[in-house]
Amino acid sequence: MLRISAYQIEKSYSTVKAVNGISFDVQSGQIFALLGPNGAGKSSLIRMLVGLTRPDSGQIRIEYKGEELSTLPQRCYGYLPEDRGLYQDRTVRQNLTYIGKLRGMTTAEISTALIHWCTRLDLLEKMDDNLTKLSKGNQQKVQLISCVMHAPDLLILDEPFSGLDPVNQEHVLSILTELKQSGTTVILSAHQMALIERLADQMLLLNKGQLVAQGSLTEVSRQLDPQQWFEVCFEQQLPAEALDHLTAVAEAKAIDDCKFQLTLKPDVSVSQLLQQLSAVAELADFSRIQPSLHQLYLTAVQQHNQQQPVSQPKDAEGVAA
Amino acid sequence: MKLWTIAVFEFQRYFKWKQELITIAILAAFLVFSALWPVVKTWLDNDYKIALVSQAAAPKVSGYSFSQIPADSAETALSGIGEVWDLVVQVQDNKLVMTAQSSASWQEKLTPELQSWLQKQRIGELPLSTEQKEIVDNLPDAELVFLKKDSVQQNKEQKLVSGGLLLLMVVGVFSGFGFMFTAITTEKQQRVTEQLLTLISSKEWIDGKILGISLFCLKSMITTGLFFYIMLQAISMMKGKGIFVLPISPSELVSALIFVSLGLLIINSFMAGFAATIDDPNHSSRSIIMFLPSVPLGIVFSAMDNAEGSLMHILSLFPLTSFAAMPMRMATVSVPWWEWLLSLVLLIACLFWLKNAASRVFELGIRMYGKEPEWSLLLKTFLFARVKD
Repeated sequence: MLRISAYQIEKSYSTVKAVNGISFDVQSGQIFALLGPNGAGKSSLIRMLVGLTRPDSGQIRIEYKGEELSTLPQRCYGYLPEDRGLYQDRTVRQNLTYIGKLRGMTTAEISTALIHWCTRLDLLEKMDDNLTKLSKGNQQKVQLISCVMHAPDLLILDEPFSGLDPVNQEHVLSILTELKQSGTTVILSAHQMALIERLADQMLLLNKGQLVAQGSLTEVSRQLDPQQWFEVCFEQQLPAEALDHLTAVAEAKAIDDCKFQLTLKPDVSVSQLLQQLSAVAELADFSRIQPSLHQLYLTAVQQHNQQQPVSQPKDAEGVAA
Repeated sequence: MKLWTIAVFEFQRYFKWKQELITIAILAAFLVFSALWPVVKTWLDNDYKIALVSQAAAPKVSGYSFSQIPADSAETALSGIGEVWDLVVQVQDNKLVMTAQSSASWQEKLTPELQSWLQKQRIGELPLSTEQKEIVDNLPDAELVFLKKDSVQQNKEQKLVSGGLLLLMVVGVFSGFGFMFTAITTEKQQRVTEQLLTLISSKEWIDGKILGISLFCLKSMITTGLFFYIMLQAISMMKGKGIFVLPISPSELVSALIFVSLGLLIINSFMAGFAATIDDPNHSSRSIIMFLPSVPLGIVFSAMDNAEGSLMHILSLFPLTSFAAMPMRMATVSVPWWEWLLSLVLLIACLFWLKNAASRVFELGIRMYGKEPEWSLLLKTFLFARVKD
C-alpha cells in the first residue's frame, strides 16, 4: 500500500555535507527510526522526505496505493517538524481547525477528530485556551494531534518525544504502537534509545551524514557488535585461565571465580562451544549478552568519530536554505 | 478553497469583536466630546479682564473683557492687578503701555489687536478727508468670478473628499505594514512555517495572507471612513445645515474602492515578501524598508493641490502611485475614460508581476532561520528567478 525508497541521497548546505549517500527502504505498516547524534543528518533526511528541500543527488521513490509518485500526497501523511510551533495567540481549537481545513477535512470531520484526540491526550478542557497558556508538554501534544487528526497512512515525526515527561513519552509510545497496529507507517527520529528499542521495526543509525548501521534491532546489534558475547557460570570455582585452551573461544575474561564472559571464534557454533564448556566443569548458567541499543549507539558513534579524518560542524542541519 | 481558508484565518487573527466594539465606543465618545467641546469650552472659559485707560471706544476681542477707566483712576487700576484686573492698558505718548502681574501667552495674542486699535485712533486724528480715511481704513475689494454655480463650496467639499481619501489610504497602508510585519515575523519566530509548508505551497500561503490582511486593511479604512462621515453629519446637523452630501458619485466611489483595493494588494504583496526575509524584527536594520510603500502617498499628497497638472496626470497612470492618485484626481476633476482604463490595466499588470516577485522572495525568506538573505540574492530573486533550496 505504501513504500518509500531512498537511494544514494546526498544533500549539502554551503560546505557542509549533511547527508552523504544514504539509502533505505520503508515498508507499509513499519515503524522506521532514524537515529544519530545532533547534526547526523536526520532532520535533513526528513525534510527531503516531506518535500521541504530537494536532494542534491539520489532518488526518493514513493509507491502509494499502486501508484508511483515523486512527492507524498498532502492528505496521506502527517509531519511533526523538529522546529515546531503553532499560533501562540490562537486557541487549541482554532489552531487545529485551521490545520484540519488546510488538510481538506470537513468541519464535521475536524470536530470529531478534535474530540477524539483531545480526550485521548487529556486536552479536552483546554480546547479553548490560547496556546500561550499551555505547558510545553501540552503544546507538544497539540502539535502531535495536528499530525494525526486526519488519520494519515504515514506519520513523519522529527523527535516526537522531546519535551515530554516520562509519563507522556509512554503515552505517545502507546499511541504510536496503536497506530502501527491499525496499519499506519511511521518514520521517526529520536534520541530516546530505550523507547526506540521497544518501538522500531527497522532503524537507520547515522553519524555526520553517513550510514553507521541499518536494519532491525537484531541486525543493527550484529552490525555494531559482530563479536557475540556470552556469559557462562560454572557450579564450581575455576582459575582465571581455565578457558584459554578451548578451541571454540576467541577471548575470555573472568568476572569472578565461577563466572566468565567469552566470545566465539569464527565458524564455531554455540553447540560446539557448549560441548567444550561442559567438558571443563558442570554448567550452572549460560546466556548471550545483549547490549542495550543505548550502549551500541554510543560505542558506534564514538568509533565512527575516531575513524573520521576531519570532523564536520555540528549544526549541519540548522539552516534550511 | 485553501486560499480562502488562509485569508479568513489571517483576517480573524486581527479581527476581534471585543476590540472592535471598544474602538467604536472610543470613537463615539470622541465624537460626542468633539461635538460638546465648544459648549464646554465657552462655559468653562473666563474672559481676561482688561482695564483700558482711554476715552476711545474699547476694541472687541473674543476672550477679553475690556473696561474703560478714566485717566485719574489709573493708579487705582494698577494697584488692582492680579485681583481685579489681568492687564491695565495705558496710552502714553502714542505708545501702548501694558502692565500685568507676569508674562503669559494670552498677552501675545492681545498685543496686535491693541496695536491695530491704537493705529486706528492715530489715523483718525490725522487731517484727512473722509474719502482718504476710507481708503486708509479699508482694503480694496476683490471679486472672484466662477462660471460654475456653487463652485466655491464644491471646491471645499472636493478638497475634503480628496483629503479624506488620502487619510484613509494612510490608515490602510500603515495597517498593512503593521499586521503583515507582525504576522510573518511572528510565524517565523514561533516556527509555524515548516508544518504549514507541508500543507500548502508558499505561493498559496502568501496569496491567502495578502488577501486576508488586505481585507482587514480595507475594513479598517471603511470603519475609519464611516466614523468621519458620521462626524461630518453630526457637525453639519449641529450647525443646522441638515444632511451633508459628499460630492462624489456612486460610480466614483466604486472606482475609488477598486483602485484602493488593488493598491492595498500591491502594497501588502511587497510587505509580505519583504517581511519574510526579516529574521528578528527587533534587531533587523531592514525593517525601515517596510516604510517604502508610504512614499507614493507622500508624492501624491505633494501633488494633490493641482489635480489637472501634468504631474498628477503621470501619477494617476503610473501603477505604483495610481491607486492613490487616480481616486483623488477623480474626486476633483473629470478624468477621460481611456485614462481610467489604462491606469486600471497597468495597475492590475503591476499587481500580477509584483505578487509573483513577492512570492519568490517569500519562498526564499520564510524558511530561513537565524540569518537573512544577502541583498544581492534578494534582488536577484525579486527581479528574476526562484532560487535553489
